[in-house]
Amino acid sequence: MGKYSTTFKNSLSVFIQYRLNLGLILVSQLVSLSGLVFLWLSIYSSGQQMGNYGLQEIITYYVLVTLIATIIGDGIGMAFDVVEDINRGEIIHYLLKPFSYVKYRFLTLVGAITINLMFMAPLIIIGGYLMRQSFSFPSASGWVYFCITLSFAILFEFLIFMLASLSSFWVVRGSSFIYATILITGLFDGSLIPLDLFPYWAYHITSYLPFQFIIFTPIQAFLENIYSPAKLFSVAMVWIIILLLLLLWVWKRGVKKLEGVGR
Amino acid sequence: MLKYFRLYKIFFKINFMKDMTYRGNFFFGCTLTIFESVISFLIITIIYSHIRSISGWSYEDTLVLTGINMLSISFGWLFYRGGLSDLDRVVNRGDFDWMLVKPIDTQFLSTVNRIDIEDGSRSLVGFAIIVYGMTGTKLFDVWYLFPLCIITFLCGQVVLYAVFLIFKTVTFKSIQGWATNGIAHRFQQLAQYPTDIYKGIVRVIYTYMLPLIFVATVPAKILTGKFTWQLCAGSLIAAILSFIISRTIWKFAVKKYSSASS
Repeated sequence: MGKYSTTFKNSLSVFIQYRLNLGLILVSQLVSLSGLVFLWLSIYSSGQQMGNYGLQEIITYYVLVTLIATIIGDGIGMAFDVVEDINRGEIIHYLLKPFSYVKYRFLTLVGAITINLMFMAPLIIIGGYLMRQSFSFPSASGWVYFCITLSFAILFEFLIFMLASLSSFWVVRGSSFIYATILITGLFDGSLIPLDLFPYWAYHITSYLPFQFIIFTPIQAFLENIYSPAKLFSVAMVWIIILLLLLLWVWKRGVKKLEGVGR
Repeated sequence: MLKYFRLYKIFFKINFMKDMTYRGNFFFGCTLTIFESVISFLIITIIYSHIRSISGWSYEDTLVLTGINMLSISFGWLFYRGGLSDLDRVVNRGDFDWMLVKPIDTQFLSTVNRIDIEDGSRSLVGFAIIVYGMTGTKLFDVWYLFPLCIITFLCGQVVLYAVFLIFKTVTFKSIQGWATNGIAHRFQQLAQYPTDIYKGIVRVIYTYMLPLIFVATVPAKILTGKFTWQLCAGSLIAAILSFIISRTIWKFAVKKYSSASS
């Protein structure tokens, strides 16, 4: 266990070292958010409404999209790192040691997320306090659901992007699969538009897919719009088991396929 | 000037040859780009299934704006975004020294060093969406405005290029310059919304300081009959000023550059 806690600590050190990057990423997210806030203000000021979302809810929704995407967004970077490791043969160093590469990558991601949270916590607290009139905050149970679903989001982000990156065992440019995953995830995780604004049949389909758990579900927990938690958590658990088994299977097949000439 | 056109053609050819080494990957990339553009179209369609207009922009007007923004993104990747995105890597690896000793303008070389040809496929969707947005309206009657639209579009590209270049000069000060790509990307994303949605100080910023209005809104306004001559003149002035400012900042940054290798 000690070696994995060292991985986690190292990850913290690396992300603290590159804190300017984190600051710049935050600025880029705020730039994006500013456009969305003005877009919705413009729509709602003309008396129009998006589905059941009031202005307060829709702004809260997109602020949370920005926060969650910034906090867990390192999953995408992790996937590109795994592709590099496989393409350059660096992964062999890990295979030769008594060390689980998958666990290592997961803990590195958790380290990055911890730093993101620590970096953003003061901004969230100050911003949340100053703009408390414009947000809709949940009750205590809403906060609990939000924290649980946010941990699911981290797990799904890891599982989905790790799986996409393992395509590098078979194709030369696995990064294309990551781009494909970014697009599919972006469409079905609710980061572009709340999934319940889709036509009903499309929303019904997305409610059985794993992507909703990355963005949409934590936000719905925050907005206290989760009406059947048992069904939701059952779907989440089934998908976690499926993705985990798939990841382990693909990993084993990939390692068998790997050729590390000259290493 | 002609020399630089010829050089661009050579760089284009080299990049195309590189892409053809992995044809499957190239065509998969084209497919992904088209898919991404189709997603944008779907999202707009979903939004407009709930509302009638955004700051006076109807569904059809917004499609024209989105199409122009797609052309803008595509144009960027074909001419300058690839090279500028890679600038931090080029500087960090010490490859910028290699560029400095070439007998051509370093800014030009850094810009066209990488050309993402696969992103040209986004233009196909962009054109299709513009035509779809204009079909069934009287907008095709304003055909004589097309040249004006092209001129303002090119001015918008100069503005966008200048903004990207200014962002990327951070690379000469910090090894963590890659994150500026994210800001540039988000900035271009903002151009997909009509700038009429912005109010107060933000409107002033996106009109005068970071002239986002000229990237897609002005060309779209021309095609949707909302244009004024002041906007066209403003587009030209913004392009000239942005280019001069970015060129000055670039030269200053290069002067301060200290080699990472050699």
